[in-house]
Amino acid sequence: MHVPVSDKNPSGITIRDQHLRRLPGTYLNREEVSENFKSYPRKGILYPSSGKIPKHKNADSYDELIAVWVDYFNKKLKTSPPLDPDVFKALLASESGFRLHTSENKIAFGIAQITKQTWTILQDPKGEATEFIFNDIRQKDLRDPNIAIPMGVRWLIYKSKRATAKLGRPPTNEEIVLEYKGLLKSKSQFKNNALESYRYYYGLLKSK
Amino acid sequence: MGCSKVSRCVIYILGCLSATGCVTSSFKVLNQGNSGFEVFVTPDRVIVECERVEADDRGVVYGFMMHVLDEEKTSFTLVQTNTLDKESCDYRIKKIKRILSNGTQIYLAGIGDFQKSRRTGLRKQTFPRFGAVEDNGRSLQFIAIKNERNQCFGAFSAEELPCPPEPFPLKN
Repeated sequence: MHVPVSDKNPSGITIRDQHLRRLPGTYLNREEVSENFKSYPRKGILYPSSGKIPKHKNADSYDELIAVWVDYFNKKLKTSPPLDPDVFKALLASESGFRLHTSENKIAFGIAQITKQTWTILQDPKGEATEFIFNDIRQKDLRDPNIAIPMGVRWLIYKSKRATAKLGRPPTNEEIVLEYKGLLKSKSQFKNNALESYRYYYGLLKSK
Repeated sequence: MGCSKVSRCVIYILGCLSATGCVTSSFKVLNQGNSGFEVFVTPDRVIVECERVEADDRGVVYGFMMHVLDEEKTSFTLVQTNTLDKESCDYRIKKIKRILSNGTQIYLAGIGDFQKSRRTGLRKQTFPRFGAVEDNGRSLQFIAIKNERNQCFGAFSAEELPCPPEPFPLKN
């Protein structure tokens, strides 16, 4: 690389022996999230079911985002079994009713109800989720579905691995969702009621 | 003298009705099909709760629920399906208690399967006027609550208008 001519480098050229090794796509900043979504090949990707949740006004508005980012992270993280986009869509229904800004909640934000803690972990290269994480995402960006959905999908897949470790076996979809909500080990009444709602939406999405 | 006694009696009865809320308690389903659920109830049939929940990796969170006494004298639950912090949950309690205390006819909207068969023996909910009542295991996502004075609160939209949020209220 070129550097200013000096006694140490009279030729003005030196070798860069250390630089941030950054594989394309391993960190996603706002621009890369946007670019990835625009350029991601749609052929053969699995979309969530549509037209099944009529009582939430914007239920189908984010199907393409869900389809692209579920496919993206399933492939990048080699998830087995792959995450079902209907699981994520039913989760959104239960977390926010597909609203981008849920009023009067100070611990979680946006359509995927991502917490401050999750927002931090998903951007920390030394944190719990180390591969394919995010960079330069502001808290206010969590109200943007173009950001919140990829972060939510990434977090749900991470939570699937955490649930596997906690249970000592592959988790069911419901257990993954409970882990996302922080309720996998909870004995609360709320857990059962919240799960019932998720189950209802997932059932609607899978209905003929 | 007799007239006076009658007046006193009427005043006493009205006072009793006012103080104890002993107006006719009612529960009327407006809609319960195609996933949307709407009901009119008297406020004595609704109790609210913020359940303290030890979340696995997130410390303490709160779950907001409303328990509603139905026509079969069992209770079902409308649940805010995302977890909340204490302040946000208490805020809901405060707002909803105000709607209940200022109203006589309460509109509730939810999403879920209200046709699901009742299961009892799980737990009980205690209503001040009716005592302990069996929870029937039915649980719906809370959408909104409103009284006849148009005081309204939406689960995800708080007091934003329109309240209840579209597509509620549903057409019959």
